[in-house]
Amino acid sequence: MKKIKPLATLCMLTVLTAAALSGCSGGDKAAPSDSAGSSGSAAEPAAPDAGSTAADDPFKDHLDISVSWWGIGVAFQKHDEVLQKLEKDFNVTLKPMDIGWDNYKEKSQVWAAAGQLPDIITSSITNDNPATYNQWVSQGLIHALPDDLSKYPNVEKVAKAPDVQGIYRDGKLYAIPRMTYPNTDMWAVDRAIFVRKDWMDKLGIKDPQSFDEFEAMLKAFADKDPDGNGKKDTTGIVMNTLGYFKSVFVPTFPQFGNQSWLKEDGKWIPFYASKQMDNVVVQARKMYTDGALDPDFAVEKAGEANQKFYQNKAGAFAFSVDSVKGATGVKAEWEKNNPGQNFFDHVKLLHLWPAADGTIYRHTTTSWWSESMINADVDDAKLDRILRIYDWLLSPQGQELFNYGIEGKDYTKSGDTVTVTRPKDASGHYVDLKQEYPSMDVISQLAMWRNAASLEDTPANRAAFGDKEVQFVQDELNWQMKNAKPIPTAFDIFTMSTPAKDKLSAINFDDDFTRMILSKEDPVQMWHQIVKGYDGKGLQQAISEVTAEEAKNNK
Amino acid sequence: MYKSIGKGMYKNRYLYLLLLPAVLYYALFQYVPMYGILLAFKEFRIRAGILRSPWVGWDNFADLVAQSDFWQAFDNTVIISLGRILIEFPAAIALALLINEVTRQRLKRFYQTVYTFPHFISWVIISGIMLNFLGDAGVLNQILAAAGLEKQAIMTDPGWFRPIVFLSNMWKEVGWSAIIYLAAIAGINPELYEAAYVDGANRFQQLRAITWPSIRGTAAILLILAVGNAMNGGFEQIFNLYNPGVYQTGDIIDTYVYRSAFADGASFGVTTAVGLFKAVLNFALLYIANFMVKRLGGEGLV
Repeated sequence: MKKIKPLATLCMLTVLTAAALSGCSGGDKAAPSDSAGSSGSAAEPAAPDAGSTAADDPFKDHLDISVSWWGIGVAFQKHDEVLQKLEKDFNVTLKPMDIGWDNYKEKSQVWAAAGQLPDIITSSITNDNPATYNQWVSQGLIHALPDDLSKYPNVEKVAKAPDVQGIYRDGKLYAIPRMTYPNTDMWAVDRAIFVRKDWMDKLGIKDPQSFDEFEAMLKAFADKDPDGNGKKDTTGIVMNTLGYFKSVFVPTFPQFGNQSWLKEDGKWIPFYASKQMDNVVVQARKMYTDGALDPDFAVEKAGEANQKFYQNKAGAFAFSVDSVKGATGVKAEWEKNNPGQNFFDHVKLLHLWPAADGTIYRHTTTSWWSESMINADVDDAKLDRILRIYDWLLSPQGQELFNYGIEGKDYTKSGDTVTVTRPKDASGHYVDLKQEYPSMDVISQLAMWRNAASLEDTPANRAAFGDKEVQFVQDELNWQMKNAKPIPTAFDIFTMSTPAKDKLSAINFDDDFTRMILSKEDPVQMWHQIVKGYDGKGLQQAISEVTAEEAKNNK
Repeated sequence: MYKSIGKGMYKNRYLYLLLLPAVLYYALFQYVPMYGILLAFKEFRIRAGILRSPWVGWDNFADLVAQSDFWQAFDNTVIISLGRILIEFPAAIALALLINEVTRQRLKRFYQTVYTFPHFISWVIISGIMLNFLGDAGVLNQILAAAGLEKQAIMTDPGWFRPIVFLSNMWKEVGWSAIIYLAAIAGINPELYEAAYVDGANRFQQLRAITWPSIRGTAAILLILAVGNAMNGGFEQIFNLYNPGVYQTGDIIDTYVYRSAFADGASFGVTTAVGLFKAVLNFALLYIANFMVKRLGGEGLV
């Protein structure tokens, strides 16, 4: 007996420690299924009498809903009144799961593999990476939306949009596309080249009418000491991300600007396989070797290079026109770095020059970028709640909140007349709602980008952003509509899925393009070599499949 | 027989109790997750999990060896790891010997601190510092420009990447790695030095005849460990320093796996196959190094 006792103690200790440790390691994995189980069982008894109680008050049960978004951690930190209103109205608690611009795709892949996807998943796979979307659908990771969406009319409207039909799989829709604009025209101002007009004046440079003139201007920014400080410390063009930079090659090769497929020699091919790439790679390399392109572009992280433009170290900046507005817009950042100076006196937008066929092309792409997906583990009650929230986010009432803030506090309304009552800042504009309510930035964009709303010439926008800021965007939009044509684009191919085309997602074009720019080898030869390497990843097969698919529609 | 083991265990029960957490740690966090290598032979279905995903035999390995990027990463890993063993490994020994030669205690401690300190800075921060230093607008290029020389794109030049990797890792880790040698040196009986001094040995002779033989065993063990670790090229460092411009000389297996597993959405099976491939190679290298050290008369690890 005496002998057994310590041994038993030892055994028990072992078991206890093991339990504690495995609790730590396995806890994360166990948690979601546990909570799903418990919430499921809590919902189930309610389900039979759902007809009576749930119909009376669909928001009776409190629900926790996790949601991922870029920078949501910071935005939700203050837990401001907008967020509180949403949570109170829908009787939910939103659990933020932060993702970053640099690695959000990796993050959701990791979450997917670990079984920890949030209830509302934010990603951009429907048109950036249809292969992953297909995989998630076929592996049952994401929830199909109900066939009958009539309970959620605003969501239904999105689901029925013509170009959304391409992402239905077996008749079901698995994502709520985040519509950017009501039409593809408004993408025109999504790409822009800001340029220092004071530097141009100083160096006697006129608006470039060809790539060569454009390149010469950037080279002069780098070489001719435009800021007059006697040091060679300036560069030509910097970019927010590589995507924005690509627009400078639109006149050379239109489809390069929106990365679409095009028909060449009777076959549908992705832009990178086109003959027209030869000119692009030569030009891109030249910009780099001349110093016209920021020499550090490949080592800087997204958004890092913007500072060079704000701090007078770069003469041009590839970004988006609507980014001029708001508390963290280009104008605000530039003026922060140049106190006492007016942004509009120093900076203007540069217009692209005509392509070889004499046409000026403007940016366009599918009408949404990125989407919300719902975790397959979400039960019916939660799905209903999420869709109700989305329906409200997309409704005119939602829109009113995002435009004017909270009724009674930020504005009053009698009939259709809205009176803004929120305070003004030093420059005489109404304080930015997004500064007042940090969560607004996320909530207002969760279901729809609403870029159109912020581009429109409305009294609300003029009050919020200022007349000049709104005019700046309007002028550009009007110029584009009058003078430029959209890039000829085969929209249906973006979301098309064929076995070999899906595999092309293993191609990382941006990496290879960057590598080509930085290399010392002949750019054209090197590019041909790279594209040949893509054959090993199924390029030729994808081309035949897509061509066959398009032929069915006589394209 | 059983009785005596039980008796022995009981007798040393408190020692076993001390051992327990370590055993549990290894079992739970190192051995249990090993079933994940099954993925190398499976087509991963996320919802089915590892165990219920379908088997695909050697397909993942076949996919792997067909990829030219993989072989580039493989070559880079071998070269960078060799460099680490040939360049970085002896540097720590040299530093320990040099610090040991400093006679003033305070100065010795000062040097030790200065060399150890960078170990605590993360690679993310170091990569930022390096960009400020070596980037186009960085200090070095400012100096070059001021001297009328051509600027150098050091961070994006494939030719510069490996030297940068070795130098920056040496700067960061050499002091930390030297600690173990310094500890070994501290354990040498001072009487040996006194005797050698009396016999007229100068400092270099003392180093050769006393210090080096005393730390040689430690060095041999660490060398075996380093070789066993050879195929891990230092993910964190490379990941923070590299960019598409230097893939041809800098992309190691680990970074390649990371990119293709997450960024490119390739199959998890293939990337696990890479990991397994690497582990088997590491294991083989470890045994070869161990065998060599034993053959050369040293004490091996196993």
